[in-house]
Amino acid sequence: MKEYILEAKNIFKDYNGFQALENVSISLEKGKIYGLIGQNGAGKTTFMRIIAGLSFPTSGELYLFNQSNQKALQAGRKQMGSMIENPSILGYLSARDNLRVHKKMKGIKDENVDQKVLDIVGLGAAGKKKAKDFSLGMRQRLGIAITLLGNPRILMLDEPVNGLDPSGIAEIRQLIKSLAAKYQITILLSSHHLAELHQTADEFIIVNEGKILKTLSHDKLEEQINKHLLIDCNEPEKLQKVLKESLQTENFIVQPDKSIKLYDFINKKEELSKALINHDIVVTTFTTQEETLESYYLQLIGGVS
Amino acid sequence: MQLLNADFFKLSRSISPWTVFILSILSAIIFTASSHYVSIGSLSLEAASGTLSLFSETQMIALLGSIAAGICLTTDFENKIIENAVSGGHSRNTIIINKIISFFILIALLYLPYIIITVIFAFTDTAFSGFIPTPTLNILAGAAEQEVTAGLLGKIILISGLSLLIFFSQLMVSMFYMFLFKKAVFVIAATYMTSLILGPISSLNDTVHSVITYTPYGIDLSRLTLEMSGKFVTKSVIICLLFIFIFYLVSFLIFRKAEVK
Repeated sequence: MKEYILEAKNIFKDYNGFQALENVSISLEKGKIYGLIGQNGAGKTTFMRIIAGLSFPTSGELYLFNQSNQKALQAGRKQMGSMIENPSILGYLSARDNLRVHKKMKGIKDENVDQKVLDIVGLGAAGKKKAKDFSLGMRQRLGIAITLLGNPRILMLDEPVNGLDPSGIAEIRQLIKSLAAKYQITILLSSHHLAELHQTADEFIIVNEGKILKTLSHDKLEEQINKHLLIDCNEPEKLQKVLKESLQTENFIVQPDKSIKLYDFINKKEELSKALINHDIVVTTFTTQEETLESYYLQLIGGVS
Repeated sequence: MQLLNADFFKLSRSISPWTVFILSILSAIIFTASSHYVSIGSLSLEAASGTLSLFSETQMIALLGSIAAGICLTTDFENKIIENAVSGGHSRNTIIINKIISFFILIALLYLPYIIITVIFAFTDTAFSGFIPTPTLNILAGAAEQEVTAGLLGKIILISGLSLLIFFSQLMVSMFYMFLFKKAVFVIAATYMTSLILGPISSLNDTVHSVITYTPYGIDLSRLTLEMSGKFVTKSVIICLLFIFIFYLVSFLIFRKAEVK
């Protein structure tokens, strides 16, 4: 049976007439990494802020560890680590002292945990350095270290790889994946680095203009963005019939513009072509395509804005 | 306690609380020294009651207290400490109460140099002039005429405690401003402006004056003497506690459902 750590049901958020979130419903399973994808202003951060208790939904219900009343949500948030927009860092304190502040706030007594989390995020040698002297990437790492204090069961990271160099991005990716795999931490990530998110997340939540456009698993996404043949023709309905009846395949998707993405016959184009000609179908587009998460996302939201 | 521990850990490592504390020590020294030099005739009353009166505890606590509310507490909004407290599962009520306690301790520390100097010199033969009616000078000028007893010490502690309560309750508006504006600069300006304009406003007409009388701003500090009555103490304590409670309530109502940014 699936164990849901977080559930949002019909969340609406209205800011003086501007609908920031509209009927958002999602369920996050234990130990999975969720990638929240959307343009700036799509509602990703608003949604995370509602989960973190920084903002309140206009309507809808939020369940954290199957509890939805305010007291239980507060208790649930004690098992949550979040970094939304920018990390909470005091420049005049060293990395270790910043962690101490947050340890005290969480009531953590363990003396060794600071070094442990600093090591995890690759700041083991920078514990005594003042945070004001940190690069953007180091600040991000320290922010992630703060979220790891107190053995959280759920992590919310808004743009965690912002400012990181390629090797840093790879390290954080490995870290996020190992946290989910090793400690069964549920992780909700938002990022504009779609290629990066593609490599990290198990599930994708695509939001646009405050609404969830699509939720799909990594496997499903792979299927969707797999190599396929894009076929456009004069008689789309007839083409579907030919594919099903003559060529015995249902492994295709009809696009809103009636073009077809066919995932079979990629290596048997001649056979396919002959079948279409035999059925008098005039083909206007016939190309092999391979999508990325980015192109899939752009296609879903209706192109580049 | 967790939030309070965190607050005092970061405040102890920040320069700003130490700076305002040192300024408070210097002001207390300058102010009591002025009082002494006025009493022995080395300093004119005009000079002391002019610029030097700015170093009185009533002026300095209003100024340094406003600064402390801004740079020591409100910056927690700017540094996302409040955000982390909320997302870390602390209730908004707990956050407000913690801030009020932190602020009270800060104000007590700012007032401490005046109290220490008062206690030390009240038991010496050093002469002081009550050239302006502030609790510190009321005690220092009055103690010279009294015998050194445990009772005198008790009275000094009572006056100091009541003064602290009055100063703190006057500065409670900064808690309200903090949760309203969430920006240090606005909190400092609004708190200090409030303490500056209430005097002139109070003298606008009798109605306003009678209303202000029922606030900590209307408590007559010149009555905080070694001879003050129990009725005055009780009335002042009630006014201050009610004022603190009202501003706690207003802060809670503002912050209860506010967006934390």
